[in-house]
Amino acid sequence: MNNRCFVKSMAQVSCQKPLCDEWFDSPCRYAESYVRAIEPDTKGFILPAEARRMSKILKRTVCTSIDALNKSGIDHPDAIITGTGMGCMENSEKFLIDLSRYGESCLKPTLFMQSTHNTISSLIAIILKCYGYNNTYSHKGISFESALLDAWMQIRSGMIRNALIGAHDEVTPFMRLVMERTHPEYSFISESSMSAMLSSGKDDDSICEVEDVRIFHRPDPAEIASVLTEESDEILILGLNGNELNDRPYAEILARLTFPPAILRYKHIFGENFSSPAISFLAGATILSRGSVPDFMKCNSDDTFPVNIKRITLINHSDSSEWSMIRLKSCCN
Amino acid sequence: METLITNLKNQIIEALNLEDMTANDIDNQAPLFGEGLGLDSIDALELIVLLEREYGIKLTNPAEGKEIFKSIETIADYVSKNRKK
Amino acid sequence: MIVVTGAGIISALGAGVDTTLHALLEGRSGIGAINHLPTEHKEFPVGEVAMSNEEMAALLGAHYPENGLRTVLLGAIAAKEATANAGLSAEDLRGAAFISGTTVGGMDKTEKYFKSAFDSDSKAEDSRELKYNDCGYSTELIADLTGNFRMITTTSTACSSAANAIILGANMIKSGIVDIAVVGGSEALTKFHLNGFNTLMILDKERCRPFDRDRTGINLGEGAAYLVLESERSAKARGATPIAILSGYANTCDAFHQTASSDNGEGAYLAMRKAIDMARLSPADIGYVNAHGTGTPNNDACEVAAMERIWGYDMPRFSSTKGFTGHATSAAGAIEAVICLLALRHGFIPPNLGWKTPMTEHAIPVTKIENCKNLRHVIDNSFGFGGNDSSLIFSRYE
Repeated sequence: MNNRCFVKSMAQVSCQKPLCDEWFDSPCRYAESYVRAIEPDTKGFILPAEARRMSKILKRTVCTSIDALNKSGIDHPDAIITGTGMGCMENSEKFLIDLSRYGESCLKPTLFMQSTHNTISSLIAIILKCYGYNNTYSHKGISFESALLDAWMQIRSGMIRNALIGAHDEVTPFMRLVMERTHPEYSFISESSMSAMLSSGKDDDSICEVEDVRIFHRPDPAEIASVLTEESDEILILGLNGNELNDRPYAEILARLTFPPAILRYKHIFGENFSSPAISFLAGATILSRGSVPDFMKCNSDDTFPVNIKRITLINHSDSSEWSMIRLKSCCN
Repeated sequence: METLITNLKNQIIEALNLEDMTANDIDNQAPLFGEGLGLDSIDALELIVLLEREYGIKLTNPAEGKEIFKSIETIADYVSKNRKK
Repeated sequence: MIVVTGAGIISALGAGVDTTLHALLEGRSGIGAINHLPTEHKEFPVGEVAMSNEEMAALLGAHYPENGLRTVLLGAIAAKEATANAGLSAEDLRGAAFISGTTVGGMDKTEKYFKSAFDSDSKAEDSRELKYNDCGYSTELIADLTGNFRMITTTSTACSSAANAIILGANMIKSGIVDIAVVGGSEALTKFHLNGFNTLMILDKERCRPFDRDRTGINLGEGAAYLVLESERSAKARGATPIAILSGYANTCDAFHQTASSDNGEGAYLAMRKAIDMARLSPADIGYVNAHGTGTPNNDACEVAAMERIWGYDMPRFSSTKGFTGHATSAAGAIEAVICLLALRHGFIPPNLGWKTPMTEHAIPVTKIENCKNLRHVIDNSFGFGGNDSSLIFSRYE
């Protein structure tokens, strides 16, 4: 893999103000444990005739994708690759409700058509008339990382020059109820959609470089600790959420490090869902391009953080069994 | 027939999620597909479901819909002759 | 060079590569009445796996509960056959990737318990039945029943999911991320997608008739299949004999409509064309096309249009084997890959069951099994909803 991979543009919709970086300077704070995303204004992104058929997740995906695309200056990416842990839940739920209520007749085709996970990726391709590589990953909390790994690997190997990637998950009130009852390790739940344009070409607007992407299945804590070095991984963004069940596996890795990294967290501001790691990617990349760390993300004291921020490493786990490590590098030095 | 037409319009608006539209906005004779409202083949399938759910009419061949769904008027005409509910 | 060193399969034709071969050679279709799926719609013929969940759990040696997920049971049976077939050790698996395609995941369980969990006064235990029904968890269960893999993930692109899992595995080997990848897909029949396809009015109440002038739709199927892909170097180092070469592949998008293909089959054309180019072949080198051929008026017309753009009227031998297995949606690409491997190895072209009347003069599929001892390169097409089109080319290993 001889080429390099850079982030050209990004966009997000979440419980923070959509399609902008205001979260960095003045994040919204919530007392509730479940907050839905702040819906973006679809004007300029979606025609009313098209919007009528789209569920919330599809509208958010179109907005973040078109926004990232416009900012990148690339009209027809070589690839569109997305991740979604649960897919189009609103439509799936409505179909299931109708199945329960009406039985197996008088069911609505639009709900089924827009319920499959790849609806998201293919909708973007249809809008852009993009005939290139198109894939969707749905693997719990490493769906984004799977999409990123695919794009990163193809760009670095020269198979493609650029890719529009993203991860999108919605959490309906019923899903929230199920999560509350079945996932004691979750804390603050919210929704997110993140799209980014990756490219092999570096230019003045490049936000950062994606140096390394790895996915692990049931690793030992020592295995993850062994790939981290003081030189490359001095700042870590971890998927901590304040809940011991979720946070303990991260502590087990930190305990095995021979150096004390500076630690950042993001879930207390953005909430979590299966696509959250995409938000940690956005946060890390924003920090690198701005050259400073927001205080509200810091877990350690100020003096733990280096003055020149060269790299940020993101570590997230899903269910303690799937792990990802993403290393981002600044374009500034 | 007036009531049926108004009901149909409201049911169609709901089934096809025609946000920001009211019954008054839809002309009885205007074409529904292609031009006019610009509905497509998936909308045609939704209308087939609507006919069964609300009026007990079962269309087994989607091609039948082409003539029936031309306009609100043609739908109302078909429903009034074939409804089971 | 990416080689295939193992394969495993379960479908309406039965469990195992040998059983599948015999069914193909004997022209014995697995399509019939619905037996296991608790649906009202018994009028649709399907390619159901002729085993209950209990029977499949027993076949797996009671490591997995019989009230578990059908997609997992199917997947584990096929994945274990593939890895055993390839002679992979526990250490080999620990360094390997497992990539599986599915769209339904644990939906069979969700639809069973949804109503009781959704009722406003439902108890927590009903919700718990919905906890692990996402796609990724099904893959995790299949993976953990098969080996302790280094990394796992799930592709979900409807009818091309398994083909895309195979493509990701191949790319990961080419990029040097892994040497070995176990790749494929698994999908069980569910009320959700049987009814979903029915709302689109594309299911056939008779046996499907791919590429027939009077075809009216799909017979759904279920099953699972996995291939073991390796770099040639890795296979040689292990002393494993390759079954075939994965010589070319492509993933493209039709970018036209969520449930219909473009008239000129743009995505399908690009997928086949790019796969042929990657394999450094010319269209004339292709000895057989295992078509996606679902039997819908739209797919088959568009697939023929795409093939004509590549071969003109001088079409290669082609057939859809969905008349044998039904359309196993997310698993189809891998099930049909195994069929292609059998065709290559044993030198035959499986017939396109159910065909009577030509749709055009030039698009005549193979309708009786044909010997073809000099078969060297075959294409496996998988074209999914959303225009997710993928083609794989398998070549004889010499």
